Amino acid sequence: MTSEESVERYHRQVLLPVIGTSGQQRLRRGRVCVLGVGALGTHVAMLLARAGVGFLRLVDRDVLEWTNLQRQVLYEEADVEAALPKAVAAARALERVNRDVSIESVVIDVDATSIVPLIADVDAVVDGSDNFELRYLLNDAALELNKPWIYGGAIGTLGTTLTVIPGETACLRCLFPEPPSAGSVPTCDTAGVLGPAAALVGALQASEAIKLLVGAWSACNRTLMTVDLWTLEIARITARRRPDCPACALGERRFLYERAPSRTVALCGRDAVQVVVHPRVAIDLARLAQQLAPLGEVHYNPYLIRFRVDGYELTVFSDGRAIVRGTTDPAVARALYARYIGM
Amino acid sequence: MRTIAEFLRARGVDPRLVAVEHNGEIVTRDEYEQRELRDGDTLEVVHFVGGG
Repeated sequence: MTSEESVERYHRQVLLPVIGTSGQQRLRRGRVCVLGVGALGTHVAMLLARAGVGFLRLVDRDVLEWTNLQRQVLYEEADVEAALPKAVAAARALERVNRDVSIESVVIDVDATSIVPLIADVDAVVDGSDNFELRYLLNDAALELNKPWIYGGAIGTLGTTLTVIPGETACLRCLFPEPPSAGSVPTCDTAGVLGPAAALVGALQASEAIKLLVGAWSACNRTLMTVDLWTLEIARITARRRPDCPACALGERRFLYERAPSRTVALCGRDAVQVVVHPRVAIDLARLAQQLAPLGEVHYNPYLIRFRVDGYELTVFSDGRAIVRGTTDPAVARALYARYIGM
Repeated sequence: MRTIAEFLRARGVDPRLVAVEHNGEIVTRDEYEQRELRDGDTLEVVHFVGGG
Protein backbone atom coordinates (compact mmCIF):
# COMPACT_ATOMS: atom_id res chain seq x y z
CA MET A 1 0.00 0.00 0.00
CA THR A 2 1.31 3.45 -0.88
CA SER A 3 1.52 6.07 1.79
CA GLU A 4 -1.14 8.06 -0.09
CA GLU A 5 -3.57 5.17 0.14
CA SER A 6 -2.71 4.82 3.77
CA VAL A 7 -3.40 8.49 4.44
CA GLU A 8 -6.76 8.20 2.72
CA ARG A 9 -7.69 4.96 4.40
CA TYR A 10 -7.32 6.32 7.92
CA HIS A 11 -8.29 9.93 7.18
CA ARG A 12 -11.56 9.96 9.14
CA GLN A 13 -9.89 8.39 12.13
CA VAL A 14 -6.81 10.62 12.10
CA LEU A 15 -9.17 13.62 12.05
CA LEU A 16 -10.26 12.71 15.55
CA PRO A 17 -8.45 14.82 18.13
CA VAL A 18 -8.19 11.76 20.37
CA ILE A 19 -6.33 9.81 17.66
CA GLY A 20 -4.46 12.16 15.33
CA THR A 21 -1.33 11.24 13.37
CA SER A 22 0.57 10.07 16.42
CA GLY A 23 -2.33 7.89 17.57
CA GLN A 24 -2.52 6.31 14.12
CA GLN A 25 1.19 5.51 14.27
CA ARG A 26 0.68 3.91 17.66
CA LEU A 27 -2.17 1.79 16.27
CA ARG A 28 0.12 0.72 13.43
CA ARG A 29 2.70 -0.46 15.99
CA GLY A 30 -0.01 -1.96 18.21
CA ARG A 31 -0.35 -5.67 18.91
CA VAL A 32 -3.57 -7.25 20.19
CA CYS A 33 -4.55 -10.82 21.02
CA VAL A 34 -8.24 -11.66 20.59
CA LEU A 35 -9.01 -14.75 22.67
CA GLY A 36 -12.03 -16.30 21.01
CA VAL A 37 -13.41 -15.17 17.65
CA GLY A 38 -17.10 -15.80 18.10
CA ALA A 39 -19.64 -12.99 18.19
CA LEU A 40 -17.60 -10.61 20.35
CA GLY A 41 -14.24 -11.53 18.86
CA THR A 42 -15.27 -11.14 15.21
CA HIS A 43 -16.63 -7.65 15.86
CA VAL A 44 -13.52 -6.68 17.79
CA ALA A 45 -11.11 -8.11 15.22
CA MET A 46 -12.95 -6.46 12.33
CA LEU A 47 -12.98 -3.03 14.00
CA LEU A 48 -9.32 -3.25 14.99
CA ALA A 49 -8.23 -4.44 11.54
CA ARG A 50 -10.12 -1.59 9.90
CA ALA A 51 -8.61 0.85 12.40
CA GLY A 52 -5.14 -0.23 11.27
CA VAL A 53 -3.87 -2.10 14.33
CA GLY A 54 -0.58 -3.61 13.12
CA PHE A 55 -0.80 -7.12 14.54
CA LEU A 56 -3.75 -9.27 15.53
CA ARG A 57 -3.47 -12.77 16.99
CA LEU A 58 -6.79 -14.59 16.67
CA VAL A 59 -7.20 -17.63 18.91
CA ASP A 60 -10.14 -20.02 18.83
CA ARG A 61 -10.67 -23.74 19.38
CA ASP A 62 -13.89 -24.10 17.41
CA VAL A 63 -14.90 -25.09 13.90
CA LEU A 64 -17.64 -23.06 12.20
CA GLU A 65 -21.26 -24.16 12.51
CA TRP A 66 -24.47 -22.85 10.99
CA THR A 67 -25.57 -21.46 14.37
CA ASN A 68 -22.62 -19.03 14.26
CA LEU A 69 -23.71 -17.05 11.18
CA GLN A 70 -26.54 -15.21 12.97
CA ARG A 71 -24.07 -12.97 14.83
CA GLN A 72 -20.43 -13.76 14.01
CA VAL A 73 -19.83 -11.17 11.35
CA LEU A 74 -16.65 -12.36 9.66
CA TYR A 75 -18.03 -15.70 8.48
CA GLU A 76 -19.86 -16.83 5.37
CA GLU A 77 -21.88 -19.87 4.39
CA ALA A 78 -18.96 -21.29 2.38
CA ASP A 79 -16.76 -21.21 5.51
CA VAL A 80 -19.27 -23.40 7.35
CA GLU A 81 -19.54 -25.78 4.41
CA ALA A 82 -15.75 -26.07 4.27
CA ALA A 83 -15.65 -26.81 8.05
CA LEU A 84 -13.04 -24.12 8.59
CA PRO A 85 -11.72 -23.36 12.05
CA LYS A 86 -12.98 -19.94 13.14
CA ALA A 87 -9.47 -18.52 13.60
CA VAL A 88 -8.58 -19.46 10.02
CA ALA A 89 -11.78 -18.14 8.44
CA ALA A 90 -11.52 -14.89 10.42
CA ALA A 91 -7.95 -14.33 9.27
CA ARG A 92 -8.95 -14.92 5.64
CA ALA A 93 -11.78 -12.41 5.89
CA LEU A 94 -9.59 -9.77 7.52
CA GLU A 95 -6.81 -10.15 4.97
CA ARG A 96 -9.32 -8.96 2.37
CA VAL A 97 -10.26 -6.01 4.60
CA ASN A 98 -6.81 -4.58 5.33
CA ARG A 99 -3.49 -5.86 3.98
CA ASP A 100 -1.60 -3.55 6.37
CA VAL A 101 -2.50 -5.82 9.24
CA SER A 102 -0.44 -8.83 10.13
CA ILE A 103 -2.73 -11.61 11.31
CA GLU A 104 -1.82 -14.81 13.10
CA SER A 105 -4.45 -17.51 13.60
CA VAL A 106 -4.06 -20.06 16.34
CA VAL A 107 -6.42 -23.06 16.49
CA ILE A 108 -6.04 -24.38 20.02
CA ASP A 109 -8.00 -24.76 23.22
CA VAL A 110 -6.32 -22.19 25.45
CA ASP A 111 -5.36 -23.53 28.86
CA ALA A 112 -2.83 -22.85 31.61
CA THR A 113 -0.07 -24.48 29.59
CA SER A 114 -0.61 -22.38 26.47
CA ILE A 115 -1.85 -18.93 27.49
CA VAL A 116 1.40 -17.22 28.43
CA PRO A 117 3.10 -17.12 25.00
CA LEU A 118 -0.21 -16.09 23.40
CA ILE A 119 -0.38 -12.86 25.39
CA ALA A 120 3.24 -12.16 26.39
CA ASP A 121 4.12 -10.20 23.23
CA VAL A 122 0.97 -8.08 22.79
CA ASP A 123 -0.10 -4.71 24.17
CA ALA A 124 -3.64 -5.72 25.07
CA VAL A 125 -5.83 -8.82 25.20
CA VAL A 126 -9.51 -8.84 24.29
CA ASP A 127 -11.72 -11.49 25.85
CA GLY A 128 -13.90 -13.02 23.16
CA SER A 129 -14.36 -16.27 25.03
CA ASP A 130 -17.62 -17.99 25.83
CA ASN A 131 -16.74 -19.39 29.25
CA PHE A 132 -15.65 -18.32 32.72
CA GLU A 133 -12.87 -20.88 32.97
CA LEU A 134 -10.90 -19.05 30.30
CA ARG A 135 -11.70 -15.61 31.73
CA TYR A 136 -10.34 -16.48 35.19
CA LEU A 137 -7.27 -18.00 33.56
CA LEU A 138 -6.81 -14.84 31.48
CA ASN A 139 -7.25 -12.65 34.57
CA ASP A 140 -4.43 -14.55 36.30
CA ALA A 141 -2.13 -14.58 33.29
CA ALA A 142 -2.74 -10.89 32.52
CA LEU A 143 -1.95 -9.90 36.11
CA GLU A 144 1.18 -12.06 36.04
CA LEU A 145 2.41 -10.52 32.77
CA ASN A 146 1.07 -7.02 33.51
CA LYS A 147 -1.12 -6.95 30.38
CA PRO A 148 -4.32 -4.93 30.16
CA TRP A 149 -7.33 -6.97 29.10
CA ILE A 150 -10.96 -6.28 28.31
CA TYR A 151 -13.68 -8.58 29.60
CA GLY A 152 -16.82 -8.87 27.50
CA GLY A 153 -19.87 -11.08 27.67
CA ALA A 154 -23.22 -11.23 25.89
CA ILE A 155 -26.21 -13.43 26.55
CA GLY A 156 -29.89 -12.98 25.79
CA THR A 157 -30.34 -9.25 25.29
CA LEU A 158 -27.64 -8.35 27.86
CA GLY A 159 -24.08 -7.28 27.34
CA THR A 160 -21.42 -6.64 30.00
CA THR A 161 -17.87 -5.31 29.86
CA LEU A 162 -14.98 -4.35 32.15
CA THR A 163 -11.49 -3.10 31.36
CA VAL A 164 -8.70 -4.45 33.57
CA ILE A 165 -5.40 -2.57 33.78
CA PRO A 166 -3.17 -4.52 36.20
CA GLY A 167 -1.96 -2.44 39.14
CA GLU A 168 -4.32 0.37 38.25
CA THR A 169 -7.92 -0.82 38.04
CA ALA A 170 -10.01 -3.52 39.63
CA CYS A 171 -9.45 -7.00 38.24
CA LEU A 172 -12.14 -9.58 37.53
CA ARG A 173 -11.74 -11.15 40.97
CA CYS A 174 -12.13 -7.79 42.76
CA LEU A 175 -15.73 -7.92 41.53
CA PHE A 176 -16.36 -11.66 41.29
CA PRO A 177 -13.86 -13.43 43.58
CA GLU A 178 -14.90 -16.91 42.43
CA PRO A 179 -16.16 -18.11 39.05
CA PRO A 180 -19.80 -19.23 38.92
CA SER A 181 -20.03 -22.97 39.36
CA ALA A 182 -20.25 -25.00 36.16
CA GLY A 183 -23.82 -25.45 34.99
CA SER A 184 -25.12 -22.47 37.01
CA VAL A 185 -24.78 -20.01 34.16
CA PRO A 186 -26.82 -19.70 31.01
CA THR A 187 -24.78 -19.97 27.81
CA CYS A 188 -25.51 -18.76 24.29
CA ASP A 189 -26.29 -22.38 23.41
CA THR A 190 -28.96 -22.67 26.09
CA ALA A 191 -30.31 -19.13 26.49
CA GLY A 192 -29.77 -17.59 23.06
CA VAL A 193 -28.24 -14.22 22.25
CA LEU A 194 -29.35 -11.15 20.35
CA GLY A 195 -26.76 -10.34 17.67
CA PRO A 196 -26.75 -6.60 18.43
CA ALA A 197 -25.99 -7.30 22.13
CA ALA A 198 -22.76 -8.98 21.08
CA ALA A 199 -22.09 -6.25 18.51
CA LEU A 200 -22.46 -3.55 21.15
CA VAL A 201 -20.09 -5.26 23.58
CA GLY A 202 -17.62 -5.97 20.76
CA ALA A 203 -17.68 -2.29 19.80
CA LEU A 204 -17.07 -1.25 23.42
CA GLN A 205 -14.19 -3.71 23.71
CA ALA A 206 -12.65 -2.50 20.43
CA SER A 207 -12.81 1.14 21.49
CA GLU A 208 -11.22 0.25 24.84
CA ALA A 209 -8.42 -1.55 22.97
CA ILE A 210 -7.91 1.51 20.76
CA LYS A 211 -7.65 3.73 23.85
CA LEU A 212 -5.09 1.39 25.38
CA LEU A 213 -3.03 1.30 22.16
CA VAL A 214 -2.94 5.08 21.69
CA GLY A 215 -2.02 5.56 25.36
CA ALA A 216 -5.31 7.12 26.44
CA TRP A 217 -5.51 4.89 29.50
CA SER A 218 -7.22 7.56 31.59
CA ALA A 219 -10.15 7.47 29.15
CA CYS A 220 -10.69 3.74 29.68
CA ASN A 221 -13.84 2.32 31.21
CA ARG A 222 -13.42 2.13 34.99
CA THR A 223 -16.77 0.53 35.60
CA LEU A 224 -18.42 -2.83 35.32
CA MET A 225 -21.17 -2.04 32.87
CA THR A 226 -24.27 -3.95 31.73
CA VAL A 227 -26.59 -2.87 28.95
CA ASP A 228 -29.91 -4.55 28.23
CA LEU A 229 -30.60 -3.81 24.59
CA TRP A 230 -34.25 -4.73 24.91
CA THR A 231 -35.22 -2.58 27.90
CA LEU A 232 -32.43 -0.06 27.22
CA GLU A 233 -31.44 -0.18 30.88
CA ILE A 234 -27.80 0.58 31.58
CA ALA A 235 -26.23 -0.29 34.93
CA ARG A 236 -22.70 0.74 35.89
CA ILE A 237 -20.75 -0.02 39.01
CA THR A 238 -17.54 1.79 39.80
CA ALA A 239 -14.94 -0.97 39.74
CA ARG A 240 -12.77 -0.29 42.79
CA ARG A 241 -9.79 -2.45 43.64
CA ARG A 242 -10.43 -4.64 46.65
CA PRO A 243 -7.62 -4.48 49.20
CA ASP A 244 -8.29 -8.17 49.92
CA CYS A 245 -8.64 -9.30 46.29
CA PRO A 246 -7.11 -12.78 46.17
CA ALA A 247 -5.61 -12.17 42.73
CA CYS A 248 -4.49 -8.57 42.24
CA ALA A 249 -3.89 -7.70 45.91
CA LEU A 250 -2.76 -11.00 47.43
CA GLY A 251 -1.08 -12.43 44.34
CA GLU A 252 -2.91 -15.76 44.11
CA ARG A 253 -2.68 -17.30 40.62
CA ARG A 254 -4.70 -20.43 41.20
CA PHE A 255 -6.17 -20.59 37.69
CA LEU A 256 -2.78 -20.23 36.06
CA TYR A 257 -0.77 -22.57 38.28
CA GLU A 258 -3.05 -24.97 40.10
CA ARG A 259 -5.33 -26.34 37.45
CA ALA A 260 -4.64 -29.73 35.97
CA PRO A 261 -4.51 -28.91 32.27
CA SER A 262 -5.43 -32.34 30.95
CA ARG A 263 -9.12 -32.82 30.72
CA THR A 264 -12.03 -34.31 28.90
CA VAL A 265 -15.04 -32.07 29.22
CA ALA A 266 -18.61 -32.01 28.03
CA LEU A 267 -19.19 -28.86 25.99
CA CYS A 268 -22.11 -27.01 27.48
CA GLY A 269 -25.38 -27.29 25.59
CA ARG A 270 -23.83 -28.94 22.57
CA ASP A 271 -24.26 -32.71 22.84
CA ALA A 272 -20.50 -32.92 22.46
CA VAL A 273 -17.40 -33.69 24.48
CA GLN A 274 -13.94 -32.25 24.01
CA VAL A 275 -10.97 -34.55 24.47
CA VAL A 276 -7.59 -32.96 25.10
CA VAL A 277 -4.33 -34.89 25.26
CA HIS A 278 -1.24 -33.76 27.14
CA PRO A 279 1.42 -33.30 26.20
CA ARG A 280 0.22 -32.14 22.81
CA VAL A 281 0.97 -34.38 19.88
CA ALA A 282 1.45 -33.69 16.19
CA ILE A 283 -1.01 -35.76 14.18
CA ASP A 284 -0.44 -36.35 10.48
CA LEU A 285 -3.98 -35.56 9.34
CA ALA A 286 -3.57 -36.91 5.82
CA ARG A 287 -2.34 -40.26 7.11
CA LEU A 288 -5.04 -40.52 9.76
CA ALA A 289 -7.69 -39.68 7.15
CA GLN A 290 -6.42 -42.58 5.03
CA GLN A 291 -6.58 -44.95 7.98
CA LEU A 292 -10.11 -43.90 8.88
CA ALA A 293 -11.51 -43.88 5.34
CA PRO A 294 -12.50 -47.60 5.30
CA LEU A 295 -14.25 -47.28 8.69
CA GLY A 296 -16.67 -44.41 8.12
CA GLU A 297 -17.27 -41.11 6.38
CA VAL A 298 -14.16 -38.90 6.35
CA HIS A 299 -13.70 -35.26 5.34
CA TYR A 300 -10.52 -33.37 5.91
CA ASN A 301 -8.91 -30.01 5.24
CA PRO A 302 -5.45 -28.74 6.28
CA TYR A 303 -6.69 -28.02 9.80
CA LEU A 304 -8.84 -30.94 10.85
CA ILE A 305 -10.44 -34.27 10.09
CA ARG A 306 -14.16 -34.86 10.42
CA PHE A 307 -15.00 -38.51 10.83
CA ARG A 308 -18.54 -39.91 11.13
CA VAL A 309 -19.13 -43.39 12.48
CA ASP A 310 -22.00 -45.14 14.34
CA GLY A 311 -23.95 -41.90 14.81
CA TYR A 312 -20.95 -40.05 16.29
CA GLU A 313 -18.92 -37.32 14.69
CA LEU A 314 -15.27 -36.87 15.66
CA THR A 315 -13.49 -33.65 14.72
CA VAL A 316 -9.75 -34.13 15.18
CA PHE A 317 -7.19 -31.32 15.12
CA SER A 318 -3.50 -31.70 14.37
CA ASP A 319 -2.51 -31.08 18.01
CA GLY A 320 -4.48 -34.15 19.07
CA ARG A 321 -7.50 -32.34 20.41
CA ALA A 322 -10.87 -33.75 19.37
CA ILE A 323 -14.52 -32.82 19.65
CA VAL A 324 -16.78 -35.84 19.86
CA ARG A 325 -20.35 -35.06 18.91
CA GLY A 326 -23.30 -37.29 19.67
CA THR A 327 -22.58 -37.84 23.36
CA THR A 328 -22.25 -35.86 26.58
CA ASP A 329 -20.52 -38.73 28.36
CA PRO A 330 -16.75 -38.15 28.69
CA ALA A 331 -16.13 -41.89 29.03
CA VAL A 332 -17.84 -42.61 25.71
CA ALA A 333 -15.82 -39.82 24.08
CA ARG A 334 -12.54 -41.14 25.44
CA ALA A 335 -13.40 -44.65 24.29
CA LEU A 336 -14.15 -43.46 20.74
CA TYR A 337 -10.96 -41.43 20.76
CA ALA A 338 -8.94 -44.43 21.92
CA ARG A 339 -10.49 -46.69 19.30
CA TYR A 340 -10.12 -44.47 16.25
CA ILE A 341 -7.31 -42.03 16.99
CA GLY A 342 -5.41 -43.74 19.77
CA MET A 343 -4.36 -42.31 23.12
CA MET B 1 -38.76 -2.56 53.62
CA ARG B 2 -36.86 -5.19 51.70
CA THR B 3 -33.36 -6.53 51.59
CA ILE B 4 -31.15 -6.80 48.52
CA ALA B 5 -31.63 -10.58 48.58
CA GLU B 6 -35.42 -10.17 48.47
CA PHE B 7 -35.13 -7.60 45.72
CA LEU B 8 -33.05 -10.00 43.59
CA ARG B 9 -35.31 -12.98 44.33
CA ALA B 10 -38.40 -10.98 43.33
CA ARG B 11 -36.80 -10.40 39.94
CA GLY B 12 -35.60 -13.94 39.50
CA VAL B 13 -31.95 -12.88 39.53
CA ASP B 14 -29.35 -15.43 40.64
CA PRO B 15 -27.31 -13.61 43.31
CA ARG B 16 -24.15 -15.47 42.25
CA LEU B 17 -24.32 -13.90 38.81
CA VAL B 18 -24.57 -10.21 39.66
CA ALA B 19 -22.56 -7.46 41.29
CA VAL B 20 -24.60 -4.98 43.31
CA GLU B 21 -23.89 -1.38 44.21
CA HIS B 22 -26.10 0.19 46.89
CA ASN B 23 -25.91 3.98 47.24
CA GLY B 24 -22.55 4.05 45.51
CA GLU B 25 -20.99 1.24 47.53
CA ILE B 26 -20.35 -2.31 46.33
CA VAL B 27 -22.16 -4.84 48.49
CA THR B 28 -20.54 -8.25 48.94
CA ARG B 29 -22.70 -11.29 48.43
CA ASP B 30 -22.77 -12.31 52.12
CA GLU B 31 -24.42 -8.96 52.97
CA TYR B 32 -27.37 -9.36 50.58
CA GLU B 33 -29.66 -10.91 53.21
CA GLN B 34 -29.02 -8.16 55.77
CA ARG B 35 -28.73 -5.02 53.67
CA GLU B 36 -32.08 -3.17 53.75
CA LEU B 37 -33.41 -0.94 51.01
CA ARG B 38 -35.20 2.33 51.68
CA ASP B 39 -37.21 4.65 49.43
CA GLY B 40 -34.90 6.81 47.36
CA ASP B 41 -31.91 4.44 47.58
CA THR B 42 -29.90 3.87 44.42
CA LEU B 43 -29.28 0.28 43.40
CA GLU B 44 -27.16 -0.81 40.44
CA VAL B 45 -27.26 -4.47 39.44
CA VAL B 46 -24.70 -5.60 36.89
CA HIS B 47 -24.91 -9.05 35.36
CA PHE B 48 -21.91 -11.34 35.10
CA VAL B 49 -22.44 -12.56 31.58
CA GLY B 50 -20.81 -15.65 30.18
CA GLY B 51 -21.51 -15.88 26.46
CA GLY B 52 -19.21 -14.55 23.85
